[in-house]
Amino acid sequence: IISRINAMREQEDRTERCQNYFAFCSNSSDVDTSCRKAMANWCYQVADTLGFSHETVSLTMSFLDRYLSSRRGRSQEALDSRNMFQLVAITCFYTAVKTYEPVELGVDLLAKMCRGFYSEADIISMERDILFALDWRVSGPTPMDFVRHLIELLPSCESKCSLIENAE
Amino acid sequence: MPKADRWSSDEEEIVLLSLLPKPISHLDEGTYGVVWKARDNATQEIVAIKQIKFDSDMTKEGFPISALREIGVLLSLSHESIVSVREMVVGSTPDKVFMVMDCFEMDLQAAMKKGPGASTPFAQSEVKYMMRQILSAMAHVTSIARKYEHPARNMTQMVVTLWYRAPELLFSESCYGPEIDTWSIGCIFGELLIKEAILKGTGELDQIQKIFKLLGTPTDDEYWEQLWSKQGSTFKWKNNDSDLARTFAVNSFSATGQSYLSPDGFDLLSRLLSLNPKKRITAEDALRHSYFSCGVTEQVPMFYV
Repeated sequence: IISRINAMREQEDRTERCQNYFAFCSNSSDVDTSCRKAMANWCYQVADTLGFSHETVSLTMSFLDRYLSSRRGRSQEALDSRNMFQLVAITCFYTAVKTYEPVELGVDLLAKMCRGFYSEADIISMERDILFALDWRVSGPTPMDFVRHLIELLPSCESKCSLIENAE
Repeated sequence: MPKADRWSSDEEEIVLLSLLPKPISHLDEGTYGVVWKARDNATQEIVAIKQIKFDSDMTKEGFPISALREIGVLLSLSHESIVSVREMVVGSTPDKVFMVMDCFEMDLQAAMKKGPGASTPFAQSEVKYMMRQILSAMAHVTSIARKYEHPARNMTQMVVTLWYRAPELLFSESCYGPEIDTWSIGCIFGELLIKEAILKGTGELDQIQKIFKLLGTPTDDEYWEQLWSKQGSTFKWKNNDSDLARTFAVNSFSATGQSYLSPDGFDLLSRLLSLNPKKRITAEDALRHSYFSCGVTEQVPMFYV
């Protein structure tokens, strides 16, 4: 198990580090930390409604943070406008569902959930931009992957299972 | 080094285009796209380039899930026996996405059929060497890849080439783990010994029959009883005894062109090809098997003489 934890840490080290990307926002930008919080809440709501795992949301936020830290593609636009920020977050969610969930989330349904604010084409072209900025590194370990392994290291006791459930 | 950025502007795209139209040879048509052998103009290195295959209506669902997962997993692995993805590059249109990978002289199939000494069996030391490479790569994947709890829908059926597909998958078991891969490794082990695929089914039903013919029908097996009753199967399979020991003769230099197989080797083979996935040996345990610690020392196969 320790070797697996080490392997996961190595995996993490190979991805780009996140930075405080809000510092990159231009002076006139309307993007701030509340935007990130709002989008995280939105993802949790959608995930719960559709029966997705919360780890999909972890992945979404990892994609979002890494994309906005990357300074590549259109990431600067997303830091300067709430509209773009929202599109990036929604698209990260779309891609996270693809990598993690056993079911597909159709881009048409997603566009509907945005009430026509973004088109399917907007989401698909943003997905491309994000994948390139992330160098396609989309299967890193999630926080829960670490938690599960760490709990595994605890001396065996009956509460182990409930610990994992609580963590999830 | 910013990788994808190198290819993003129009000017740099010329580099990509000049890289692509002169493929040295067409290597292989994989599941997700065509693979080309090409020279990198910047470094003069020979690389393999794989174009991701998009559905005709790729604009409908964006980047294909299967390719996304394959790339994600390959990028997160780092093992001497696993091909590494060097970078991802794009062409002028959204459907042109390429993986740049290390290029190898030949794959196992080619090594068996076309390599020098193709007509003679591998030495047991060579088989052992290759088996260790395969198993340690597999153990690495198992330790790193997230559990296969979430196979994408529709992927279950076509996830493994028929000849290497584990029996439980043929009975549409949809929840599976690394056991399906150790089954495939068992098939490859057998193939290395006789230089021919061991279970060449012509269809799913025929594949099942061939498996039960070689390994016996799983009677009195808890796993299979449960699976069949869960599926409400009333089909009765002809009772067979295992043919494995006769097919893979132990301790003999047979005239049929089989590599020499020690009793340890046979034991490992039968544990990899266990019909019950719960009893199938894991890659990690297989590496600790006495097959590797006893008997002849491993030796790099002579592919390049």
